[in-house]
Amino acid sequence: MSGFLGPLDPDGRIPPRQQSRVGAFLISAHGALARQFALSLPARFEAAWQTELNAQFYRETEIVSLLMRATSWVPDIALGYMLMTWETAWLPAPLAEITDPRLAQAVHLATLAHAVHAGIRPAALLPVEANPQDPFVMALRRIELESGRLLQAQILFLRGSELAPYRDAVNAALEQRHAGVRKLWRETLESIGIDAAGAE
Amino acid sequence: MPFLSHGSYRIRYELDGPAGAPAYVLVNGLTQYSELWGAYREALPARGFRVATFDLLGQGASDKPTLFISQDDQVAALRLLIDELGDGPVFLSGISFGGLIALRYAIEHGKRLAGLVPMSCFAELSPQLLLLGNALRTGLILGGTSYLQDLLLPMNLSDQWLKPLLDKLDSVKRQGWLVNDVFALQNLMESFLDFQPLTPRLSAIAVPTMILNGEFDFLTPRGLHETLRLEILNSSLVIIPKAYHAFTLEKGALTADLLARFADDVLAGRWEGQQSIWVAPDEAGGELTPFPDGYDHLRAIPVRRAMP
Repeated sequence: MSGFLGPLDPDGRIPPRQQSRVGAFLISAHGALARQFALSLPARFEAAWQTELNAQFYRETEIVSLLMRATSWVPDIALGYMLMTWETAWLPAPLAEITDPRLAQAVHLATLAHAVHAGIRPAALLPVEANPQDPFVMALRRIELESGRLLQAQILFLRGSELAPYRDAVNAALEQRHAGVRKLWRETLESIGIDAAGAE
Repeated sequence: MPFLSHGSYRIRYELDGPAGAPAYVLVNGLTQYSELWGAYREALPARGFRVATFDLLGQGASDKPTLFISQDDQVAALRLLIDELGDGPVFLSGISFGGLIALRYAIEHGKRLAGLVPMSCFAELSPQLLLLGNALRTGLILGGTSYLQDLLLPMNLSDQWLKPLLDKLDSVKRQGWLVNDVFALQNLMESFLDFQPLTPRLSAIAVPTMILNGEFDFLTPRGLHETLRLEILNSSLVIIPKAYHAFTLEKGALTADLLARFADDVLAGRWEGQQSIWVAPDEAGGELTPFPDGYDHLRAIPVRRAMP
């Protein structure tokens, strides 16, 4: 098992089956974030931080749009079951310590977004020889770079004073989210012959 | 690949060299990973030392706490590793951030050490270092690990080292980019948000201490090392000629030789610190020369030291 996508075709492109699985996973994760950010968006902003919600929503939507167009899709019968597993995993996980439902939902969304943005590094799967002019290769690099920037909002919120009384619970929930997302990502990669130990 | 457990976190470490021999423990800089000590893992065992290397929490193959990494936890991880080494003499060395963690260990557990070697190190954040650190952190956030590496490489390594690598810098950066994650590096950098200067506590370090500083270290210049020399009574300052901040990478053979000689001298009872100042040789095996008497070692031009 390799730690990288491939073997590449003569033009330095990733095999379409691998593109389909990786693309589907990322669309599922970032699509879930886009939907949940959309639901969190008020019709009219009343606080400056809400502008970040707007940015997060559109960046996640951009990632989904990018992958839909940059991925070389092939039929994959296993994707149906995998997709169901992934979508179930993105559902809100209750945090018993936080009784305010608005705050609990915000923590859920932030921990999920932190786990996806920090824990998933698709560009680290690319072998050195991958064709930089290939749209899928470019898309993975762009998603990884953009994720590092998007992550900043989650870090600020999860470390913020509003959550200070729940520090341990939030930290535990975040570690748990990371472990869950990493497990799904690892299983997805293993299903296409990639040793994901170095890709987490 | 062996691991130590600190709470729910795992710390990856490696031991090389003969068990029971005096040990050197080497602590990574902030963006490093333990494989970068490869030259030392060969050179020091050849001189009769055991070598312990590890990835700090947040680095390489060690666990990466998601939201916070405290420097207390790094010291605790280092303590676990040193406890693994048994009762023999232990020499502790670290570079940059790793030097700071080594200093903290020496302050808190100095009796366990036979010697200490802080390299490219600091005990406090001078305004320059604070602002540089903030700028590097912003670079990491906006441009990712690769951009941070782009900033650090020319700052910390010489033209001589960089020139033959100019057309293959991507391959130089690749392993560090692969094993280090943005969020984890950011957590390591932000472990300084509540940093308290170590300077008032440095006098607690009584163990023989050799402070290594590159002649051209831009990130942590001479003044920061001078603080260590003045506060640690049993110390000497050794200036590495034509070296920058990352001299452990660029001058591995010379640095390993200096580490081995220091430990040999300490174990033989020959070493005398006396807050002396030395200039290292250009190559491994050469003689150290005392810094010219009467001249100011804090200046880059030959200026006579002001009389007290």
